[in-house]
Amino acid sequence: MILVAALPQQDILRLLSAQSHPAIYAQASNFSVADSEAILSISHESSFWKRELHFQQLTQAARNAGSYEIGWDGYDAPKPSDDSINQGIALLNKIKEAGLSPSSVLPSADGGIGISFRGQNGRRALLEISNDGSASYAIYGKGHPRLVGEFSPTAANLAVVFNRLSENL
Amino acid sequence: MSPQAAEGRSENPTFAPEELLFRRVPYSHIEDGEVNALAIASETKFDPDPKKCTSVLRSAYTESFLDALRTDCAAGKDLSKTHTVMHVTVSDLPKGLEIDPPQKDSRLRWDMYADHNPLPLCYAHSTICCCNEKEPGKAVLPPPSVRKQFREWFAAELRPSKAPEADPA
Repeated sequence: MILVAALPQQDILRLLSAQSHPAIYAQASNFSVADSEAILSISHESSFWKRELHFQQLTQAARNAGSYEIGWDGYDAPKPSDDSINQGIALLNKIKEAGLSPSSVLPSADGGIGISFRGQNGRRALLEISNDGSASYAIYGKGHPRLVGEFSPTAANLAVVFNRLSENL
Repeated sequence: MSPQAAEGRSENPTFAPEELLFRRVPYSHIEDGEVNALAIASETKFDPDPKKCTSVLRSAYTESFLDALRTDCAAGKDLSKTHTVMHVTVSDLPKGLEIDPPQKDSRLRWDMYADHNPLPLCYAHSTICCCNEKEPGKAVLPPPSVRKQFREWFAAELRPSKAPEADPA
């Protein structure tokens, strides 16, 4: 179990597809790859892997935002700049380290990219990085107090913003 | 069927409270039936010129909500595969929005209102504008926090537009 969780999923799939056991398995005397389906099942059910996959998908969504064209909203929304996308991906990594779980990453009709969170009882939050490099957050929802602020997406420590999110979602 | 063209008609400034305002929404920004606020532009869509405010179609002059997807009302673009149509009701447009967070000396409040701005091939074209509550009907650029509140409200209140069910009789 520990060995499985310590390996990236693509490595597990590669190892399972190999005909012979690689050296790392030979070194673990109490472990064998007798039931590959069971291992895949473990990896898919693990919250660790679910989170890894989720953030991979979010990162890919941020990259995909680069393919949106001007007017993608059906009107005249600008496309996200490369800088806003790259800063969004960097911010995603910090969010992951902070233990938060965004729901989606999408282009913003104001120009830029946004990271969305869905909380309980209709609570919603957006972290938005604009094409001009500014960044802001908003936590809102019908019947709830609205919390807003600005932040520097390149700041090393975004604990204040992340704490607000985790406390108010 | 083509949307109603202006054909020399001037605008009709009177909106019935129950009139619907149709808005195109990209499928990419609908999550579990809910519109992500990132689909709504707030920074550039309030202006002293009502023609530059948030575009919608008023139901009084549409054959169907699908007019919003027809090229005559969508700047010549075919959006039928990438966008759907949603709506809000005129009487639900928010009134009395305040700067957020509240400021001690500010007693200003802002109202949203619908303004009819026909296009030559799309008579139903209208906009959602903002005015100071003391000067109804005079479009202004409200403070950023009021713009953001509108965006959050709009995304939360947009409802899917559907064709009326056929009468079983």
